[in-house]
Amino acid sequence: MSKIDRRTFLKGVAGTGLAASLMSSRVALGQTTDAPLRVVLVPLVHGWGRDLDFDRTFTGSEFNFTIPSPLTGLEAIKDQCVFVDGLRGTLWGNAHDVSYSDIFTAAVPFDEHGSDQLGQHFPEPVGPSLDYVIAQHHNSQVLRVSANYRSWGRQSNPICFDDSARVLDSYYEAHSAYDAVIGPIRDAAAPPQPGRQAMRSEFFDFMRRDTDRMLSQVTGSERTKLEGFVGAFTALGERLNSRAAVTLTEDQIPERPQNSPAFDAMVNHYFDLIRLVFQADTHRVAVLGFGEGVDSWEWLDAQGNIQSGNPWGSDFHHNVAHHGSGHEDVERARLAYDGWVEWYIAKIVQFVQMLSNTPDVDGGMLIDNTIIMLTGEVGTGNHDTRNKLHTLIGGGDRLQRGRWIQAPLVDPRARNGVFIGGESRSGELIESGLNYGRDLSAWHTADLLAEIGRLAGVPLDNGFGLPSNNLAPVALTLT
Amino acid sequence: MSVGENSDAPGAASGGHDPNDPTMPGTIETPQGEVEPTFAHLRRLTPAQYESTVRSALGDVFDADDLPQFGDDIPTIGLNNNPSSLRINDVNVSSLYNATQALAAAAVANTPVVSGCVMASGDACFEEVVDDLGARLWRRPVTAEEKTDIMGARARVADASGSRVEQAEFVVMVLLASPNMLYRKELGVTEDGVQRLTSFEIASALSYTLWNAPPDQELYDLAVADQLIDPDVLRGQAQRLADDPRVSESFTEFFLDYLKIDAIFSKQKIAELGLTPAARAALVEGIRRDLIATFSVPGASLLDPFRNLNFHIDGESATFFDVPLAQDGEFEVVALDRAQRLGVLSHPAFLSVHAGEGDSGIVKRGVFTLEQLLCVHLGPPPDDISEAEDVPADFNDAEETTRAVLTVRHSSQPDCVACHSAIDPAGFGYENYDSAGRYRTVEKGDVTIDASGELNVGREMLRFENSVDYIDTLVGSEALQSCLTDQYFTYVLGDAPRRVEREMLYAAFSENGGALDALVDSLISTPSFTARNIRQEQP
Repeated sequence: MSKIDRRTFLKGVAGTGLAASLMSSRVALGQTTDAPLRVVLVPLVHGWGRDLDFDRTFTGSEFNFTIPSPLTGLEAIKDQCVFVDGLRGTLWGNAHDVSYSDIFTAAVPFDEHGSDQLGQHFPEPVGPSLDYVIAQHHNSQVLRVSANYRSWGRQSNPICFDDSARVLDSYYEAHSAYDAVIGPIRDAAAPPQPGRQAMRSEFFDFMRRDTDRMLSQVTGSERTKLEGFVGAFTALGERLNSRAAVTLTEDQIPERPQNSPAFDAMVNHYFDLIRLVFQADTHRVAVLGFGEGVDSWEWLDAQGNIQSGNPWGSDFHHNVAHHGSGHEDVERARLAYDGWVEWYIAKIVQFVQMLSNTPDVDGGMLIDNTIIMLTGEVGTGNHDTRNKLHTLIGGGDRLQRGRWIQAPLVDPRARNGVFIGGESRSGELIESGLNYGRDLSAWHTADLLAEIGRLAGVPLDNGFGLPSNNLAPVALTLT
Repeated sequence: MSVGENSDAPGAASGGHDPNDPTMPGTIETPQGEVEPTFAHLRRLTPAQYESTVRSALGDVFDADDLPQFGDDIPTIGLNNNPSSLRINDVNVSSLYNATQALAAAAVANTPVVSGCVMASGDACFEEVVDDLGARLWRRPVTAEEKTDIMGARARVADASGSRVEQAEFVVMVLLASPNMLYRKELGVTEDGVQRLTSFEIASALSYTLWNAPPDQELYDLAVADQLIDPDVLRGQAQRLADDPRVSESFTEFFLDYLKIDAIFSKQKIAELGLTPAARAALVEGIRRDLIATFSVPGASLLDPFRNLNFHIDGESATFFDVPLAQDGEFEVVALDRAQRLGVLSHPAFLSVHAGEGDSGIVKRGVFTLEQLLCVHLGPPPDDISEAEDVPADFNDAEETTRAVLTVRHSSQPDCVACHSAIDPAGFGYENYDSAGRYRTVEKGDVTIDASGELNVGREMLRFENSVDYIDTLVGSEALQSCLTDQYFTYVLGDAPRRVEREMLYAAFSENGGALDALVDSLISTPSFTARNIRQEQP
């Protein structure tokens, strides 16, 4: 397979592989019984265990290490995990806002601010997100769901983008995701009669022609809007015409979730849906955002008493990220935060066990062909994208697991050839990050995203995201 | 009309438009000055508009459950009815497609023009379906090219063994899912450097503005006759629509959107507040009834909801008002004590949305008030917020009011104080209401609430002693009234007004006490109601 230049992705990855029908790729997959690598990207608001005042510190060596609190629940699946510790994200602006757009794209130009599409808080990237790139390359789909992963009044944070910087939305209600996913899978088992099939085919063809007539009348933002409209219909048509590699029986399909389920039930529904679409091979990638709203969880206070419920009152973000160092609630906030992350870790372990018990088309189990990546928008929780922890789980022999990888650090004042800064839309490099007062990772999250993309079969040999985010002198390798 | 001709007449194209440069935006002369109209938009129908449009075309032949769930991102700041954010995307397209199938099936069963065609023979009646439903759903005649396309696709369905039911469903489906249905197209035709809206586009703009529904037959017929470009005809139709009871529903929708009332359904609240799903629904229904009743009064003003004392309350919502009901749990109108409540800003639905999970949310209420009620732009929060606080050692949160706690923390952080010295006072004024909008005079057991304060807004200094006084002062301010007219213009046209149009609208508003009739008359006289900028907005 020819190598794809990063710039190709930045300009227009949409063209790759679109010609082949989904159906043919599914049939081919079913015949060869090769199992593809699937990827699940799991961002958690404020990240999976902050450093600094929350004292998230691994100890030991690369293959003999101790997992710190609040991640210790991962001990149960430690041999499935790779901890990539200390990556830096893009270093300018309000890190929460910048990072949402940057987290899976590594492509937010320096000093970009909010856009009409995303709102004043979120800058637009100039390249697509990893989920989109992988799915486009394999002519497959992405299931994007949000369990209250949101801020600034949005229903879900904008973290996924196509190659035109259009945000790719997430389902934020379990039943909506279910309806969209299960219909085509059920349909695959009972294809429509010829008249109905013709209706469907003609419908989607007409929608494209009809939209083209209107597209000829508009430019600018309204054209982008209309392109999104027809793109959504085209993608839906492809979904409905695709066929699952594995025909699922009715008892393998979960019950439809009720409207507004309890948070725990919502998360379980999402796990089940991801398992299902991977098993049926209708999707290669899933993005599962985790945020506020955890119920039925407990944590221990400073006296060791069991507490339950949300200790942050009205304002999760400010109480977690903006608490003062002299604030009497710091310790309480830290313990509660630890308990909150521990709850999510327990859910992830549950998900891993689910995938470990689900057969894949190659005779193995889904977990061996799935990489789950835990990440977050900040490393410290305090508007700072230093020292971000990424945890990779699963992947079978594609990953060297049971491993703790510490990012090589550089003194930002004496970088030894490492560029730390931003890149403008015109490609100008802007130095930044000089005044952070502590060492910074030579690796950007772009280095990890590129590596995962390569493992998923995308030839990202020139890196991922903005070129300036791919200047680490030492490559990050996971194999 | 050529450049400069009759430039004193309202609506005449004028300004620096160079007829040799078709990309150069022109302006429109008004007595108040030249206006460069707002940008042209494709505006996706809101859920309410979608439903009214489908009902207008198909009749009451479907259940509400058959309608699509657009799942629009409801911002807590800003209008839902924003052409940039109302989209069809990968998430809601499935629901739209499923709804389209269900609605088409319902039309085949019960909409006479469709069901009759299924029972008939020959293809001609399918063309009648396209003509009839197409005009209603697309708010304009279907062109010959479009009809040929639809009929050709239908024929291919027939050739593939599609039954007449399937052919009819197909025709209805493409009409329902077309961008011509989903989007209000306000692009116009180029004339003297501006895009003049067509009569059909003006008919839709007027009808969706005043009724939240597609044009009725009279309005549609005037569009067919191309008479709506005549300002007098347009004014007459605006008056006719404004005199119809349906206008109260469209102003109600504006207020519900403006104040973000629907956000209550996704707002997290601690259980102790008792904001159950049923209670939330009752509060929203109550405020909806309040607004409809207020706007149904002849001569109603856009300010009236802010001064209403008669609240619709039922058994589910009574606890939040702390009032007994005369009837057995059904909605009734209760005149509340003006010392505790005054209008929509004192309604528990509004106050619950703009509050924290368990506290009153001084900052949230302050930010909303400044940005949305007073149009004060706050800008983004600082990039990097210091954690340093300098709180006196003897300061005890439990013994102080929430405002005192907030004040001491924000004032001890240099990064925070600049903005919060403006934000916080705008929230203090609501402190007589808790997180669920219950009236209170104490918090934390016995700490006396202080809802007094001063708020500096441009040329005005608003001083208040308590929450009702605050609301009264706010509503009487030029800042709120000017902002309210701006927000209404933005809601209607999808873009904020520029200076001259803002002044036109506000002058009509202030001279007539916010009367709806005068507001509507002024609105349709603004150049942007019937014309758009020749430039199109860039993404």
